[in-house]
Amino acid sequence: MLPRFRCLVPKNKKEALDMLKDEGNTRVLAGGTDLLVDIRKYTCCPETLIDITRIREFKRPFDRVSGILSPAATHAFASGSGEIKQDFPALALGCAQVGSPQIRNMATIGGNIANACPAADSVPPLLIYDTRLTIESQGEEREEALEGFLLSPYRSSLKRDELITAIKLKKLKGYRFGFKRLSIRAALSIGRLSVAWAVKERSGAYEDVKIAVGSCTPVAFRAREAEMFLKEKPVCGGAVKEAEEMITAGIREKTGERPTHAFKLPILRNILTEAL
Amino acid sequence: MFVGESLERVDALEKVIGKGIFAGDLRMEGMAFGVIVRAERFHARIASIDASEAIATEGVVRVLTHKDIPGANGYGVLKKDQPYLAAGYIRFFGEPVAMVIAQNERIAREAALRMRVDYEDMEPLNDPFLAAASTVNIHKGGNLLCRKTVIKGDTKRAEGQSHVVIERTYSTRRVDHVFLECEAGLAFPDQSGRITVISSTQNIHYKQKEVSRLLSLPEERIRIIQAPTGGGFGGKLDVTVEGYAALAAYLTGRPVMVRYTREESMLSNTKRHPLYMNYRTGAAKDGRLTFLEAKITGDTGAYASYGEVVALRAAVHATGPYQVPNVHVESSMYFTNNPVCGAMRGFGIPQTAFAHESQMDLLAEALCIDPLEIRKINALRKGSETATGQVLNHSVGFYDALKCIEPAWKERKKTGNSGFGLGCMFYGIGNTGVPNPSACHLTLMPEGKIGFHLGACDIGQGSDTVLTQILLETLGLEKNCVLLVKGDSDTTRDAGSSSASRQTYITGKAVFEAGRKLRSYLEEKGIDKGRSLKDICSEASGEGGPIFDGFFDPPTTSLDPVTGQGIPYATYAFAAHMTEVEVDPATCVCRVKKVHAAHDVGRAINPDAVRGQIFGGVAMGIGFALMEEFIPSRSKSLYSYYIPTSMDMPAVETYLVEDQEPTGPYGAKGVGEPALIPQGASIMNAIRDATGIRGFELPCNFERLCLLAEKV
Repeated sequence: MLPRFRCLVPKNKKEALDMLKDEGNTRVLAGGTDLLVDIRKYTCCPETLIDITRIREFKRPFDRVSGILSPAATHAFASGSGEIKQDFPALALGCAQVGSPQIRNMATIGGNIANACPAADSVPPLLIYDTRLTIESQGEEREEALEGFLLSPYRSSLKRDELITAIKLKKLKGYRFGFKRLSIRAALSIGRLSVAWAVKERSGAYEDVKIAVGSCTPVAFRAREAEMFLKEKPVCGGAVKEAEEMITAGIREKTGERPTHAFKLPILRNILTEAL
Repeated sequence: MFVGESLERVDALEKVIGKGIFAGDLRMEGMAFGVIVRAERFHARIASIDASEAIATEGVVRVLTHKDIPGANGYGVLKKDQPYLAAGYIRFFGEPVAMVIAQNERIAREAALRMRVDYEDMEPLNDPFLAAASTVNIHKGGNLLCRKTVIKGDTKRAEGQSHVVIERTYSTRRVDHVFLECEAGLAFPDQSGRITVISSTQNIHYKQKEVSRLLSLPEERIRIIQAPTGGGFGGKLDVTVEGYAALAAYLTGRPVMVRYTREESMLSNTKRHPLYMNYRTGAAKDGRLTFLEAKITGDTGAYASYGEVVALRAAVHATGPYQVPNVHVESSMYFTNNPVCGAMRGFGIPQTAFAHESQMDLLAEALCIDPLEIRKINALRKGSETATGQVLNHSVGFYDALKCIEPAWKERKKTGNSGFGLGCMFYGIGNTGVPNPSACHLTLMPEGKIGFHLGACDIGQGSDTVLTQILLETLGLEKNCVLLVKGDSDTTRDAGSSSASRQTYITGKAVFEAGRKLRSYLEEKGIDKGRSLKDICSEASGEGGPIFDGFFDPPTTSLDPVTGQGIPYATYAFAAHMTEVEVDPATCVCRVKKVHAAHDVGRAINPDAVRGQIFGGVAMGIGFALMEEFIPSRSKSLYSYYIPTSMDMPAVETYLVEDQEPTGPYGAKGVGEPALIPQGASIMNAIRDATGIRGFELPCNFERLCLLAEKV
């Protein structure tokens, strides 16, 4: 059974930041598709929830000119919006595979980031678009790259009184994009491995490659070393195999040897071969 | 005409408008809630139970342990070995230890968390092979629950005459039923102290007997009523909440509701048996099967439940729907400290179908014969003898089912990553080699309607509709002249369990018999000569109200304890499925694209209902083959235990074969379990076709398939 709690619904950003400062045992409700599951399991017992989805400043889900997503933008929006599909196709693909239509209608991008789940589906696509977060608390504002924001499973650099207020993506021109996710069934499943990529080629060689991998390590990551290595390397040839080796070796280093590597790493290599 | 028509379900309206009240939604004045406290240990002795903090919680009515049970603290369909509340000893993770009764559910659940139980841990036996070899016994009689054998001919001699012999070992995992509605029940005492239980169940009369033993009250002091039930699949055959609700109501004198969350349901409910199946099958050069040897080892978990039935059914059906002249099957069940395994749709045969259908494909490959052809060569047909020596004289529509899918099979086109596979099965309708009668009765009600007293539990499969159709057909009357009085041990007779695909065939025949008696009575009274039913009814009530009863027990014999020879079932259903899959070569994820399903159901009383069963069976078969694996203490909820969703559902083409069964009502047999049985097997053969890889272990998820692919 769901335990009892109070739910506050701030109308604007200032109200929300004040509440975050003043209230004691609180959690931000940004859709709640993860939070309410935890509350029902008693793994998290807040007295007060602060629902940020009705905040005036967050009403507009996406500003095309600046490339800024509202933290309250839902996965349904991110997967269905024509603008997102055009400007950030990998994000649209990633968000389309989350849960079910009901989940996507509730779950927000801000919530997906702040929850810092290693299997968050919006994170690898956001990583390839070099996403930066605006984070505010009462009277203060800072900016941080998503890449450094995620610290470990379910932990980020977000402080208790802070709120993600903007999600800024960088538009990439001339790339082809993709997202692939490994899951046991066609819907309503946790991604066991997810890969987002952006690839730019010029006359048979890689001009620039961006690869992000989720669900494999404590925190989704950009494969920087392999990306650097692939620059200017010919598309046909052994470079891709070498880059794959770098990525899987990097994973082994991060996590230590894991039994699931026996199938995850070969599948990751297959996906990368397909992608590149 | 009612038979053969897809009549709207009799319960459709109440379900659609939300009027049907499920057990968990029942409320009564003064109703308390009961919550079960469960052991989080696999194998342990209880050192102490400290209920003081729970009892001290405001709103807690009482805490019960095994010492409070007035009658016998043990239930089970064949062996009464499972305690309602542990008497000092824990045999599985989730075993009930105590029950907290409180004014409302919130208090009950919170107080249950305050129960302190100390254990002395013991090493768990979590594997049937370990249990077989171990000197530590989980039960006094040892770890072997039963061993069933089916022996016919001489397999050793036949082996010498075989052109090819294939030997492989197959295994399957524990599977949860995941019925839509979790277990729930309300019990209350009336002024005379009689206990009534309203619950979500597959069998009311059996539960009446169990509750009577538990409370040490005569059966007539117990009344069981079936609430609308959201699925069962065998998981609501054993006593679930009924015992606890009844016990609490009896001891507190007030209504008590017990309803499980999904987590509690998954923790406590019986599972599908994991089976390890070693198969040796031989064939002659022309593809005819020469012999089959199978050694089946099952893990029945901590208590007996339906383990013996599953062992026996697996043995009797080990050959699949084929003629095999020489057979030697040994099927054993062992106790372990795993979750109790019990009845689940198919009773062991979805597992053996995986084995025998893989063997058929391997033989076809070795002999360079088309997979459909080798099945046609060996198909059971009229005059064939089964492994138990039963000669099939009627209603053997297997060859016709194969013919139904033959065009699709011949036209199949492999593209890119797709593959096609066949899966076939036969399934004995009703209980195995034991009497399993059904009874029902009809009355004439003063208001001019026929009272249709039906003890069979409709658990969503649609038996109420199908049985009403049989009655209406027999009576030749209008639809609205029948009033269904159902699922109440006070007003209906024992129609047995809604299991073993038996209700249409067995209860259907009992309904047919009762209907015929009433029909001739009505004719005698002049129904065909212009007299109204209302007239006849009001006259009858003056005569004290005649009762027209129906009874049917299918003709079977008991099986020889050593050779397993005999007539275990009066009739069998047959089916052939053809499945198309697509396997992503990068991720090893398999998706099912299309299924052709041909079923010999004898007679489709309600064709749409038959199709509904087939669609459901296909969905469950996809889960069984590709996803479902219940790992004790890890599979806690639907968050970590995956069943297919609508997005995993393929297109399904159904073909209904109607080779009528002379002993069945209008020729009908059954389809509930047959719908599932061949599906998993056909997927595995299709994966082999798509990838070149054959899996021997279920579920064949991407992990297993990837590891197999790495090996190649």
